Amino acid sequence: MKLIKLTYNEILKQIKKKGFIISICILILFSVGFPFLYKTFAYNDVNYPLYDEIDKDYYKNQIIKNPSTSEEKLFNELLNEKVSIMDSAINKKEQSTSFKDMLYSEYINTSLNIIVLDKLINDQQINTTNVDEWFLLTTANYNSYTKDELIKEKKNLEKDKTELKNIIDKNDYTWYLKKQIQIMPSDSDNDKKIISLLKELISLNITDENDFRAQEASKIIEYYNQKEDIIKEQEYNKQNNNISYDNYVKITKEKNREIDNNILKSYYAIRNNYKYSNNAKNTLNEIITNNVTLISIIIVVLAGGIVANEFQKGTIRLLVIRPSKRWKILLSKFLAVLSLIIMFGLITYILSFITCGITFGFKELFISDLSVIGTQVIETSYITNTILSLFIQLIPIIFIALVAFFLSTITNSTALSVGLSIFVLMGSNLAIMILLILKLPFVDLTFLPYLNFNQFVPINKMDLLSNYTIYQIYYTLAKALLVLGIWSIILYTISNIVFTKKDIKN
Amino acid sequence: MKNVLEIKNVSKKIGKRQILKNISLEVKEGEIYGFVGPNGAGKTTLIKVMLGLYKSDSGIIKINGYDIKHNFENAMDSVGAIIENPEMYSYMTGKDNIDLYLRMNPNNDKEYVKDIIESVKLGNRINNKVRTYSLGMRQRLGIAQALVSKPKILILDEPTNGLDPLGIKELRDLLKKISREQNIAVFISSHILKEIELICDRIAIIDNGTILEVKDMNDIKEDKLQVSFELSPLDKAEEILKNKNVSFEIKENQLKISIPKEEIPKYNKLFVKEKIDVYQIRKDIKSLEDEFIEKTKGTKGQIK
Repeated sequence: MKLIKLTYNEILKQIKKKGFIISICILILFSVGFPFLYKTFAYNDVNYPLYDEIDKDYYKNQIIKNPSTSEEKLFNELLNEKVSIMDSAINKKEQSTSFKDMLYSEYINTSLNIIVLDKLINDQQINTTNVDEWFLLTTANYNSYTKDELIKEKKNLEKDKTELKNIIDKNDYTWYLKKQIQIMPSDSDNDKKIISLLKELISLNITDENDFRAQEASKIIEYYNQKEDIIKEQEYNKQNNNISYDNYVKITKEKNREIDNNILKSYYAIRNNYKYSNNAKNTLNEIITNNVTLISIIIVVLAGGIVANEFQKGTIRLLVIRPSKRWKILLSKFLAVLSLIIMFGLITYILSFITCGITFGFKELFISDLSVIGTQVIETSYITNTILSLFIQLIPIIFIALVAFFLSTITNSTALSVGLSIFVLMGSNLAIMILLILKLPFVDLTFLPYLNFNQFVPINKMDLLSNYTIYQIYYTLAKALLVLGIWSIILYTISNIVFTKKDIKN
Repeated sequence: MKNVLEIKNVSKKIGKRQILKNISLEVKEGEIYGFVGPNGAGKTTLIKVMLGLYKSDSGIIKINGYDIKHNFENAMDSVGAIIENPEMYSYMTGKDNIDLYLRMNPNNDKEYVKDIIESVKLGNRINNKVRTYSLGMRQRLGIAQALVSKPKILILDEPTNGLDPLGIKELRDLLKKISREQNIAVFISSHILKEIELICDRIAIIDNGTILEVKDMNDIKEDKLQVSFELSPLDKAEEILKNKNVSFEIKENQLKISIPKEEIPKYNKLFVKEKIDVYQIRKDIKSLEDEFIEKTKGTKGQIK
């Protein structure tokens, strides 16, 4: 009861400060401003046109003014054809995608071949070597053809051309999928899996390349390529690695499992036509992380001053002569810091959520996430996940606040406490690198790798896996919590002893 | 009467300096206890030890019967105090500050709190930021925060610092009033005896970390004077006084007795009757202040 009142007092003392109001304003500004910034800048899909006027003009300028030989005439004819196809693509505002690149190059190729064949049928003496070189064709093969064969080939190509034209008009993505299956080698397991995925897409009749299911499929293909085989210990040891073989196996297994999970999720999305990922959700995830960074700085300033300021201003005297033991006074100060962290977290979360909802549409935010349990994909509440992610990310903020609090208590200097804590916060990666260069083995027992819990948020599992490799250690959330917990107890105990035992001289 | 404050054999060393040497004193319920000594005598240190700001090296301190070492919260429940300049949270209003302290040491008597604020004459400025207060107002707010929780003992360290003469008078009147009306004991330290001697029931004089003397002001108020008689023969007078069991003192061939003014003729008659020649009867003019200076002379020479 007494502790609650003391904590309330401490919170009040912080809230009434001018600096606090400024901090709150900054937090509000950022959590409200970011969604708009993301909407305006981050998701302006950078699209490149398939062809532009410069490409077209380049070919136009190659046209020979006064063609004299039949070869020159053919050259001009081919250029004209190419320019006209490019022109039609420009008019249709075709974008450069792997599908369109492939489709148009095939279409141009076929059209040009038909023209060359036409010429060959009429006049077999034409030398097409230069044309082949220039347009990247292989018409030299036709030299050995008889006239009938040439006519037959032309007919085939004309049929192909109408078909391609048709595909261009209908914008039919399945053509590309089929083409992929054709050129895909089917030797390895992965290849076979990819082929079956492509076949599934065809059977689902996905005709638009911008369909999210097509994008999920390309993600799956990428995931398949990221999978790593675990190599044998002897071979591994030959490679002079910084990570022990045991950890290497653990990390690789975990990575492959995460990839498998992602593949399962993407498959689920494709098969159930369930678009679980969208800009609204991605933005909110990013903003939560941004907010946490901002909160950490504000909290360090606050915690660095909460004890030291009382000493510097002399208000400590009137505080410790109240009927409360000193450990209660210190604890109430720490509890106040803790409450403010949670308060800041929730305020920014609510504001960001509302602003994201306004800018991107609330409907998008209520779409469930996908999670994998075993091999089962289940839908989980996005909002619950984000709140969980927020609180996970706030844990190291509590720790860094405790560092500032500790320094504040033992040095009685706000500037020193704030400065050092921010240095620790910002320089933790650098410190790890220095420890690693010095080949000190206890990096995982320091708090340094655990100052950013963004890596423990399930959707950022890949970051965690890459951190293992960077920090050359293996750790889990439980270990991070344990190490931070032990450090916290040590720091708090020292603060408490210093605060309760010392004579208050000023 | 019950003691609200008991200090027994308290010593404190800071660094190499022995600031307090075996200090003992008691303050009774409702009593105003003056604690006088030159700067650096150890007044503030003793107050800080009493309030738990410093840990004493040895000795026992009991407030309202509770040992501050073992029963700090109970002991502090009945204390209101200001130490040196009462620093408040200057970015908050006076009322906010008072509320903070009330939350730590509750007193549900809202009227009483209002009265205290009125009686320190902060009624119309209590909702202003403390930053805008003058030194005197801050001092008065300090006294208010010490009083709002209805303490049994008020411990004031140099409360007259920064107050103008009128302010000092008002403070004296306030302390007298609350001490009489609510039976609150006041322990008040000062390096200027004159400022507090008028209201104190008892005054302790401290120098160099030891209490030199505790004076009961009631004795002085009963108008006992020190009177010097120049007599001849002196030894005969001595004998008479010895037979009458009157305490006296012989200094510079003069007989000194402490008696009320009315008794001077009685003694004169007595000596004349016994055929002793009386050359001169003189009242020794020696104020408490002189005594204080004399007592602490040669130690610091910082007495104003």
